[in-house]
Amino acid sequence: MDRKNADAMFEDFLAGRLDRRSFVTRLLALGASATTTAALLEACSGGTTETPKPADGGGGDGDEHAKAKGKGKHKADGDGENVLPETKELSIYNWSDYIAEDVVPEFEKETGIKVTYNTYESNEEMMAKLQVGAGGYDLVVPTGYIVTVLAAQDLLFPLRKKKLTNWANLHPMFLNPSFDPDNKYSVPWLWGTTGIAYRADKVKAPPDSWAVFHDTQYKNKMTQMDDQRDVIGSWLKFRGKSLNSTDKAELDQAKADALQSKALLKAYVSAPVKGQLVSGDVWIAQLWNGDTMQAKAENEQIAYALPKEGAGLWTDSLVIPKSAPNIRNALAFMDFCMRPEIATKIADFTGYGSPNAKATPETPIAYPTDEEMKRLEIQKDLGEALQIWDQIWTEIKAG
Amino acid sequence: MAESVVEFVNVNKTFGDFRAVRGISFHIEKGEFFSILGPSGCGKTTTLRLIAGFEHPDEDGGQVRLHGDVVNKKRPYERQLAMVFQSYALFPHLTVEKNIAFGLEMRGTPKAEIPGRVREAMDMVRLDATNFARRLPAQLSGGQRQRVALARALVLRPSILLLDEPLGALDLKLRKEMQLELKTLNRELGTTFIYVTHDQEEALTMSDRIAVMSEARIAQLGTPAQIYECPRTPFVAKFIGESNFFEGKATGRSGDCWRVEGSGGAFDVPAENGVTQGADVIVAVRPEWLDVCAPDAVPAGENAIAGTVRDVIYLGETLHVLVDLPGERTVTVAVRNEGQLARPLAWKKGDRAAVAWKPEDCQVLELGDA
Amino acid sequence: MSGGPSVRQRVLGWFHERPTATAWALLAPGGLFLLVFFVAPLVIMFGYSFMERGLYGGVEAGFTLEHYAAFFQPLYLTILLRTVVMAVSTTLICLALGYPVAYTIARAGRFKNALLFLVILPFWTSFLVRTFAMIFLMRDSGLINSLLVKAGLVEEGITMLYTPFAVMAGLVYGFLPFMILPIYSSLEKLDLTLLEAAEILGAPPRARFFRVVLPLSMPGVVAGSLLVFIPALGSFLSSDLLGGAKQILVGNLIQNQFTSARNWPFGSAASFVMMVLVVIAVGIYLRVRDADEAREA
Repeated sequence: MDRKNADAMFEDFLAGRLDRRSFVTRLLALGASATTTAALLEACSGGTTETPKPADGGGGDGDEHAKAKGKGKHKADGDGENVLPETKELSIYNWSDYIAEDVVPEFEKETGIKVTYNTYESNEEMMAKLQVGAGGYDLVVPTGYIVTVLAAQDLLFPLRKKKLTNWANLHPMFLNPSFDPDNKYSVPWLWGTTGIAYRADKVKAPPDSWAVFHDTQYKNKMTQMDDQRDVIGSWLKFRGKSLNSTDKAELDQAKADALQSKALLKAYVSAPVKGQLVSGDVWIAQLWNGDTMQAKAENEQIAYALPKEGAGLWTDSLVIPKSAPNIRNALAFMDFCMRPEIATKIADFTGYGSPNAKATPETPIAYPTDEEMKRLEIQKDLGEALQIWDQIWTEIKAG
Repeated sequence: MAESVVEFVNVNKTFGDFRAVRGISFHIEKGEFFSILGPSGCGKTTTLRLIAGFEHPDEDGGQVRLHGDVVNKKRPYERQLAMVFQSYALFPHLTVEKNIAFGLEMRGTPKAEIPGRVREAMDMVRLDATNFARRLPAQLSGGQRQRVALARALVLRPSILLLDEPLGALDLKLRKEMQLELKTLNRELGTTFIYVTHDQEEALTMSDRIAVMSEARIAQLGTPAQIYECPRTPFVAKFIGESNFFEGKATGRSGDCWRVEGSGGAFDVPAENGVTQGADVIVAVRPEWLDVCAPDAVPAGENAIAGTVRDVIYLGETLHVLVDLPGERTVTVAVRNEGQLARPLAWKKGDRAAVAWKPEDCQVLELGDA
Repeated sequence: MSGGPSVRQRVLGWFHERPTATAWALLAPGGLFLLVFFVAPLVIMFGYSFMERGLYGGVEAGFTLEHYAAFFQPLYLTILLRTVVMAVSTTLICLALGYPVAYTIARAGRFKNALLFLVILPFWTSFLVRTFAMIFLMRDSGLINSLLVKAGLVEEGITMLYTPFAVMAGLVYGFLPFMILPIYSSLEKLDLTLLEAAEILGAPPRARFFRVVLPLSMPGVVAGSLLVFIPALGSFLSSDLLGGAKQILVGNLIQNQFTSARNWPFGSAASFVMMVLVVIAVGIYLRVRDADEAREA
């Protein structure tokens, strides 16, 4: 069977451009067995499925299967859930600079769905919006532990895996993450690390430790991110502690280290520091690896280093808010992005790591080696301890 | 001659293309009540502002002298003058007391002296201190504000006080009251008052001398009697009081009169006044110098021109009889009202009548200046 | 038209006879809007400030004063103090810069409208965009430094961005029109004859300004000061973008509580403490000013 045609038809059917009867007819015409056809139908539709009649000489035992399958088909589909309404729109809320430019237009062209695309700068910004019920977003892209938090507040829609046909393309490393067991809610989008971006032509040696932020020779040429988890986390790692620590003593030590570095820092700034790295106003910046690659595209001298004490590893995932009005389309988009060529584009453009095993980005960011994994740590939600962290952060900022 | 406190020597003032004051010269004597009178745009306010110092004469535009010193370039706060503005210009954020004290403070009067001087000024303008001292200008009536403006100026005991149409906003009765008060103050204090107005009645009432201005020049300078009874130009004759004009050419002389013949009629004019044979002559005759009589009953020796009564206007004290004369002109005759109820006037609309006057009861005017 | 007056005429007539009802009717739409979008959220926030913090943000039921108590610790009070100082400084600088500008415009005759237009023009761009523009101007490789270095006035660039100076510059630039316009409005109404009266009473230029112009422009000065002080107090963008987020102001603190710190009740409490302080401060200021005027009399 011509896989490509089938894929295309499949998409069409999912998008509602092809009705069931035509779909079945064409599939059979392509030579799919009745069994396959029935299975496909079951996978992507909700509600009653007609028993596909073999056109002529389909598979012999196909008849029985079809009949058998047909029996249970006159009620809700196998998942036992309701039909997802067909709509023509999709609202995506993502980090800025976090998708390849032509992905959305391609999706729109293929499916005829009109996409609204908005961006945010921090998890908290996005979460606050979901919490107050604002936005009408169909897809958001939280970092790791935020998925846990959103799930705990019952703000997420459990995925219909059956609709995500490209699931198998994902690298096993990103399946069943600790923040979302069994990927109940999330499809990995991109992964990255938070290390140190630097100008190779301005610094004496590539920084290999967070201690570089205590180095007075780079006074006023360095920045750390304006994010309490990243800054305090970096100083916890510096002292060999976990970046999820809630121990007061460890946090006080981190505060002291942060204050020591603050005196030398130019600013606390996150993504916008790229421009200053490119222009040379900033030589050393705590930054995500992907954004560093983006800056590198504008200035070859920019490079990236992972400190030896360790850094944060994170995965951003696509999730669907429970209040999403266009769930069917959201799932379609998720599936679309799991196609190897799309995943490749996204990784190429953003510079981050693709969780898609079949993606072939130009400058692949290798999956962390075992040795590196020992140094990297994934952020977890702090729960009640967030108050202590915030106080520490306020003290750092006020100091 | 009394000393001259203000002197203008051939002063010119131009604003861009507009000549506001053209070569005017005059002097003002100490203690005088001197009015500058004229219609809007004649240059009277500019003249006052030149005295005050808000305007300076043109580069070669003559001299302004105060007490004998040339002050062309001095700013107002360098000249020791006081001024009452048309809009009073009271400081809205200061009380009456503080308003009046302002000038004293600016001129360095010792603090202890100020309250007394303020009281004194308020008494002078008859403003009750206990009641008004702490009020704000917004809480005063127009007349009260006017008095405060006056007090603010007089408290400085100035030798010269400038007044720019200060009574314009007051009602008639109050205006008349204030006119008398100002005149009294002028006499009692001995301060020179320089008063700008467009109201000729006001000027006649209060002034020792009047400068009548028209189109940036002084048309005539003199006492009220001189201005009123002997106007020199048609403008002055028209502007002050009312005048009837008769014109013609001097045709012949008989005795001490010239015969003047015009389109309306012929009349005699006393022979001074530089009248020459064939010259154009224009005379002004005030309504009260005219009388109405029957065309054939003209008193001997009087000029008379016959016409038709057009209207009789009742003005209380007088009656104005309007008579149409040949040559399409109307003449006003003022007749004393002897009581229309008891002894009504003999004339009414439509009657044939003549207007008559004695030849010497006219004023020969200078030509070439309307 | 047949019959009696139309419905419309009757309704209008009804209103015509009842001025109070008319007043209420005219106020109703605006009032309703304010009630729903201003008063109601404030009341809700006030309620939040007494509730318990939700684990993932939001609030949970419960009554506690701990958030207010937490605010009155040295750490947060210092932040408040620093914010007030910065807001006062901004106001004073705006006054010093804005008054002469307003004065000049008021005296500018036929150029008045053009100059006013120039003052208002920045408002056509959003505050955020203008703040970013300042970043481009002030950073080490920015426009100002490039010009200075090219002109040979300095060796390498001066550090302007990410300093308190940059924050103040951003705030002053952003709020200056709010100071200029009310003062201009006050000055424009000034009767110039008053200045002439003062002059002929013996007042030299300095006295004329301090004794007449300034007192009479006070309403504009007060209005302008409040219009600058209050927003400056709550600002957080400038200190983040221009100050390099190295200083934390009350505005940043509150923003944090609603985002990364997920402590909405504390954020609400802080907001209300600030609001009350502003109201008190402004009340004192106005009271003092009125007393001053009364004392003058």
